[in-house]
Amino acid sequence: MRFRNRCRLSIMAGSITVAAAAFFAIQGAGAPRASNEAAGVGLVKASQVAALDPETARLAASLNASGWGAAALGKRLPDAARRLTATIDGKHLFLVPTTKGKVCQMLDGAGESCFEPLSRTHPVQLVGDDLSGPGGHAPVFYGVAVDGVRAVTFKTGAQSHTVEVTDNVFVFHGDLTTPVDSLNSTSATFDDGTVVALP
Amino acid sequence: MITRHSPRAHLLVLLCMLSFAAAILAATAYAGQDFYCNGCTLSSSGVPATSGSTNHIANGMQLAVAADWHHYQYNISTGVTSCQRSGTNGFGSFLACSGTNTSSRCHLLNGTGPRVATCRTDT
Repeated sequence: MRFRNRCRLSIMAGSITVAAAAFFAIQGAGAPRASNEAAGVGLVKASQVAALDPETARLAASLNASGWGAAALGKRLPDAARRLTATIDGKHLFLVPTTKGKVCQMLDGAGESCFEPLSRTHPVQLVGDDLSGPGGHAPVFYGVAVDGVRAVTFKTGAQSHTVEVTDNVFVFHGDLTTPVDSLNSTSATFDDGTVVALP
Repeated sequence: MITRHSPRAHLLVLLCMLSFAAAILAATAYAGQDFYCNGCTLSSSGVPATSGSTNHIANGMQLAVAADWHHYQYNISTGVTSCQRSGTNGFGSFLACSGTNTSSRCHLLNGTGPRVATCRTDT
């Protein structure tokens, strides 16, 4: 009988562990935050609203809790997140500022990438994604540009691509042979024709 | 007092212990993190840091100082690269993306670096 009691206790303890883990996972996820008075993130101001979807909020909370990137970024600030009005293949792009003055670009369900706030001298942030690998979906190159940038040019390997910027966002769909690991020579063309090459 | 337990009782205890261990494993199944570069220095030559683990649900890298970066999963048997992301002049990235029988890798691009980095894959 004592063993049965012990068994029941063990099963109860196991159940409590699972329940507690689920509880803290939900608590750590945080809730979507939609209220902030920030005028913008960097110089990206024209096409955005204060918002962060629940999944991205959970990711930001999780990365903060694990200390990911803390040395360079500090903590992500979900309350100050902005959602760009343009979408990338139907996915929303968010800009999340951090306590150390950096910005993390977060795409719905596709993690984050972080950089310095955009400026007139560094007007573009570009990321290349290939989530499936060769034979799967073609890679996608996308990013954010400051107000006043009308086009972004960059190279993948030796091939040059120029894409228009719409509402601070640009996207380029490569083909299955486009390499993701050779982004280079990025530049931004402003409405007045000024071209700024990124360092 | 010495008590002798029946084999059935021993089996019951074993089942209880297994049940408890399974419960703990279930609670921590998604919490595994492999820091395959933990404060290492990534060189400007682009040589990647490589994980020892082979099944992943996420991969990422972070840099203390901005550089051009790339992280990916690589199947040594097939030579196929998947689940990859790159960026220029940034502090790195984190990407939820599953892969099996692959190694997670991170490195710098375009001759930038060397940089102190942390690269992590979740298992």
